[in-house]
Amino acid sequence: MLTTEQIQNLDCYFEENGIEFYDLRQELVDHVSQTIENKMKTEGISFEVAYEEAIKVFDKKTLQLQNLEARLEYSPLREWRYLNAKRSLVALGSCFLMILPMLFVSTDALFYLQVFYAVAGLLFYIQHLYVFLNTAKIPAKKLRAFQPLTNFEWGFPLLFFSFSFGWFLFSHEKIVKPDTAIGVHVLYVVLLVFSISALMAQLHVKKQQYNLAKKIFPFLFKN
Amino acid sequence: MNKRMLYKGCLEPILLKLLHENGRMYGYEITQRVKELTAGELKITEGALYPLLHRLEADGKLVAELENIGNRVRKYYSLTQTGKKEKNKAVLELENFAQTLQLLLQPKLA
Repeated sequence: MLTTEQIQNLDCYFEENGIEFYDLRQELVDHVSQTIENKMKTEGISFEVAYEEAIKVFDKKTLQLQNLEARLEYSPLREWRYLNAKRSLVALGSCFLMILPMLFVSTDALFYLQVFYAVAGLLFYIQHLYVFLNTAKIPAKKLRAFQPLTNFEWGFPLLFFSFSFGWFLFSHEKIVKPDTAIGVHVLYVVLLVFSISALMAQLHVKKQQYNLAKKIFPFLFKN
Repeated sequence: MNKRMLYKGCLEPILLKLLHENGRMYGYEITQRVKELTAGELKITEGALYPLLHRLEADGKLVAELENIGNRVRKYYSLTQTGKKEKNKAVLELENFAQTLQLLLQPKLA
């Protein structure tokens, strides 16, 4: 088994050679560590010799390609893939359920309802931000993890809050004159689309977390 | 023609089939298993393996879980339900392709 210092050296090698994504580096470090350990065991060579041999495969060009691939695959733009028909229906249904009460309450109550949505959005954002910061306790420079859902893990609550707050501003005559602000309409539609897309990603995360919890604490899920 | 180029298009079905048979595997294990099964004939390079694993994960065909192995982290991959369906499709396509090649290379005389 390699020492912590040797593992850190490997991590530094990949970092210095442009692998900016923490997750990818972890995977490559494990791969090379395993190769080195096997070489040391079977060929009886020292760590230094085994390291030189194992690292040959990961030259600068290969690593650049790996990093580029990761960048393309985990670009935030690719989050759109979560927007399939089923999830879109769930998201639109949720939006509809949120909007529905606004149609039936009195004008006075509407104000409080919108304030409630805005505050709920803000609290939701703070809670998610707190959870995200606690689960990602890694140095800031290593925070560029490429897990596909990380972007929306913090992004969705922000969008949700923006949406709720935007709705609040948009619907109050005293604050905004919507007739003259076409840009606001466009911005609002964009925000709505992003929010739905982000919600899809969130649902995906929750499903994964649920499956993980089911695996770790099976007794909680017994009938 | 370069042997590696011939194998390149077959990597995905091979990977899906391996994961189906072994439950969950990590990168290094996959390269070694392929090497072992093909008696060293096919060597999956790291440059091809990891991008493919990440693409399959992003497409929802694989699911990854992290596990602490001593002082480092190991990423295990396993098939999702979509991945299992995809595996059947991909393996069938590969088999059909192999049969077609067989027909071309060794045509039966009428």
